[in-house]
Amino acid sequence: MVQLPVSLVRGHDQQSVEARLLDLQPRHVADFQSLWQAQLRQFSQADKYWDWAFKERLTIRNANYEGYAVEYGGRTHGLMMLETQWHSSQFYPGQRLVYVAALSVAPWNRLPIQNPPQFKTVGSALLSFSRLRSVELGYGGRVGLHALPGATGFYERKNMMRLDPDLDDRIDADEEALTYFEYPALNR
Amino acid sequence: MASQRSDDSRLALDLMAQLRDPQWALEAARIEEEAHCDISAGPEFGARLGQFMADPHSFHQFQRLRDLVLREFRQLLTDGNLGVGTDAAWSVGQERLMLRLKQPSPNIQAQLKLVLAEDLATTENEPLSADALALFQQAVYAALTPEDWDDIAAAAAKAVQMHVKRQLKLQQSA
Repeated sequence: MVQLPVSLVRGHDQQSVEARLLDLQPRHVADFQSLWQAQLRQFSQADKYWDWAFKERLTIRNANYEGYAVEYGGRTHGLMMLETQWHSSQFYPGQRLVYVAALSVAPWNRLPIQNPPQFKTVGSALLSFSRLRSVELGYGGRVGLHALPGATGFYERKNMMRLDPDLDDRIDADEEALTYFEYPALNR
Repeated sequence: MASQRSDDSRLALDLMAQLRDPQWALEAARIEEEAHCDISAGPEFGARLGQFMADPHSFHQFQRLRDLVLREFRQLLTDGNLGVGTDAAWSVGQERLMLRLKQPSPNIQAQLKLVLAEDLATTENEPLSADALALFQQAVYAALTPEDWDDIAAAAAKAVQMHVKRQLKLQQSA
């Protein structure tokens, strides 16, 4: 049972607050559905149709999926699902990694929607936690993910290695190709 | 090995400490401000199921779903007892099925997602439950339009016709 203190930065006064990073639970999914989703739709966010209820079921029924949430003040501020057994490095063949299958922060914490956001660093904390899980699993901190189209700038600034999609590999020309990012192993 | 475990433990403790460090959070906030963008990550197989049906190499679960769908379609054809028309029907149907599953209706998506979740929860050689299988067959059948089924039937019929003609020719020349 994960329950980890994480530091967030309050948007309006830059003060840090201590939130909690927890295992994904039904109340987090309920928050997504009741508090997030209308705003995500209003602002046409790419993750507006994400089905966190389905993801939560996956995490319950499959040991290789793990779900986490960042909670503060009784509200869910960020969600993440990791896949821990099936993925390996795109840069170092054969090296296993933790794959961020989904990472999403509450609409009120997104700069493009609300400036200043209620809390900064929710996504950074979740990403950092994925590295922690990678270390715990013996993968050395290697983490891979596909960034949504509006999010590549963030992962570039986090100094992750980038692998652009091969557009010729698409079966459908309308298909959206996502850019892959990867953290290498941390120095032991 | 023991040394690596010890290094990993230290790294894990460092990362845990970092997560609750307000200074680290301020630096992370600065990076987020610089990027000034969304930070969402991850593919989704809800509304965009089709996209990931087309990209199975990156997502093993979609490979499994694609395999399941095609296997079930093959079974439907086998059960239909199409004889020499089976391969032609399979060829047309497989192509149509992948096309239709790029943008399935919400109802079919929901059915496929349920079956996928069940399949992921079972071991490699364990068959799907009867309920899940029935649901799945229904979804595969419904994913194809009546026109698709007409084309599949026409392909099978043509293959049978060609086969018969070839057989007759053989008999005449004998």
